Amino acid sequence: MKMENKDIAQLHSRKLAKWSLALIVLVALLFASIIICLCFGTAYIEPGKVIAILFGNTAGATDSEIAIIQNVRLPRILLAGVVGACLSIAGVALQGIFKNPMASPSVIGISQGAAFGASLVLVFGFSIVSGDLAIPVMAFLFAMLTLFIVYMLGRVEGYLPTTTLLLAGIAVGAFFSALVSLLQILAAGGSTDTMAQVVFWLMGGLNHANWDQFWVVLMFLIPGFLVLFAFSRDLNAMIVGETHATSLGVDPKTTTKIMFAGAALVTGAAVAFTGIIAFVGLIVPHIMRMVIGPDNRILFPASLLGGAIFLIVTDTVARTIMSPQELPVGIITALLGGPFFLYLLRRKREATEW
Amino acid sequence: MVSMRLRVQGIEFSYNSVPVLKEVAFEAREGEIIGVLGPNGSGKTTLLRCMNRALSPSKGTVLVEERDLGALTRKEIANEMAVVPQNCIITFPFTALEIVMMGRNPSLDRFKREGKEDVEIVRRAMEATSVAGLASRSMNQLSGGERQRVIIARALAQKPKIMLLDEPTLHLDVNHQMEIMELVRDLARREKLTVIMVSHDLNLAARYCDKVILLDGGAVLSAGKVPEVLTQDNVERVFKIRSLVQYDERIGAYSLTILGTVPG
Repeated sequence: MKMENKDIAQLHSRKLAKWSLALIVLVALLFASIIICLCFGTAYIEPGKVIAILFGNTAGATDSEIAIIQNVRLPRILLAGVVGACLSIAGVALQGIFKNPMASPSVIGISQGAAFGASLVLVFGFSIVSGDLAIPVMAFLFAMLTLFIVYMLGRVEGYLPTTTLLLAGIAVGAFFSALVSLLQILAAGGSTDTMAQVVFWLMGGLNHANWDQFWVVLMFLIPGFLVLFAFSRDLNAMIVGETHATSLGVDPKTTTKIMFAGAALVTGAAVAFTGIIAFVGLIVPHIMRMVIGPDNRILFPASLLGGAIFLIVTDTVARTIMSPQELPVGIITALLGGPFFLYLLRRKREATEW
Repeated sequence: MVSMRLRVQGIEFSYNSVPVLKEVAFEAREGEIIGVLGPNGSGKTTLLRCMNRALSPSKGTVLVEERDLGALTRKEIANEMAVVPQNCIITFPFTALEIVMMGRNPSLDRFKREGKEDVEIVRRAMEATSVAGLASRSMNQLSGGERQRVIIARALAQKPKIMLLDEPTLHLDVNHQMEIMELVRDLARREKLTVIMVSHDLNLAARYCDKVILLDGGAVLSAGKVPEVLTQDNVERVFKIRSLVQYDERIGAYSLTILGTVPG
């Protein structure tokens, strides 16, 4: 009995120590990936020079190098970071509420809905607010709308089985994708840019990144993350089951609404400027859960950091692998995500009966 | 007179304007195990859900030590009353320890981490239910009986006065059914817990419950000691079987023998 006593306290403190370690490692990796990815592009710039430029020491650098770092690569990398973070924490929230590791913004069609909302602004100038926030706000509203459609369509007696969730997501996602394509084609009126625009929205890309976009997405990410994180313990209880959650003093309805609103907020912001970058919200939470466990109190911050790293790295691959030709980053994430999705599907089928 | 731990007064509940519970009332003392019996659709689970206010009854009150649960927040209710639901299938690999630790949620502020006392309470709860050795195992790897004990440990970690159990022995092997019931009786006696247990199993209820409540069509048909409630007439009327309740010296408890079905 004495042994077990020590064990439980030890297990608990070991878990907390692991959390701190994970956060430290992820922050370090994030900074490392930013610095390293700043070096690569059409022209290679040495890490030492990159760091010097970041700290405002421009003595040894040419004007074009300074411009490349400050105006081209840095905003793009930071935008990749916040967008990756947004999609990943949305994935954590959705997987928790749906009790299903296959849920993510793009798999269940929310990204597509958000892209449609953004397209409405771009094509018709239709929005409930004006200015810089018009696109993200509309993307958020349509993300929210899509989420409720999928939730209502897929819910069977209070549960959301994988099959109905995925089917509802596929149907809704395909529907909104088609609408996005249609709007883009209507808008371009048959110009040669049309297909490029369609591809940009459907594959997702960071090639138009600028500082303003980064700040706007960050402005959505911060409150979105804080709200989701504040309810992370409630989400833990929800994963065990709604009856369990109620018994533990958690209100399932409130928690569901908060998670939906938070996920829609960050997905909308991400999609508004970068289109549908698929599978990030599926892969990152899953990997983080394997490394650090399923507790949402660590899963949200870890996925925030992990998602940022993931998209910074994949986007750097996307813009350099066929240099000077740039690929949409969505191609890379889909190439990774597709097989990963199938792996999850097969593994789940073996593990449990659903 | 001993004061009542729990008073359930005139609970009514309707689902889509069909009455499910009709003026259900009963009382329980500390340390008592009360069995709620009745066939499918008699309102057993609904009664449990009304008691912890997962559902809001249209009429009636639930008093815990004279405090009206209707006036409390969900968290406050969770500090008075813990529930052990019917099934527990978890998609993500939470460990047994993490699940039991969730029992501390209602006592913690939103951003507060579990402290030393919480860990100590959890340790005691896990030892009392013999699941301390399973602490680091994933819930998904545990057997049905082990999972049930972990959920009971979580309920204990809430430090409640009342524990509601919904079919605690469902889907368990016979030896694990006994094990769970022995554990529940132990906890009721040692921790002075009041246990309200919904069950399908008349025999287990007869054996382990101090009192039983027989529900028929959402109303209490009879309530009281086992031999007074599970009479031949009552059981025949509600369950359509012929039965006999006897005190069995060998186990020092009542046992119910099913004699046959009622034709028609």
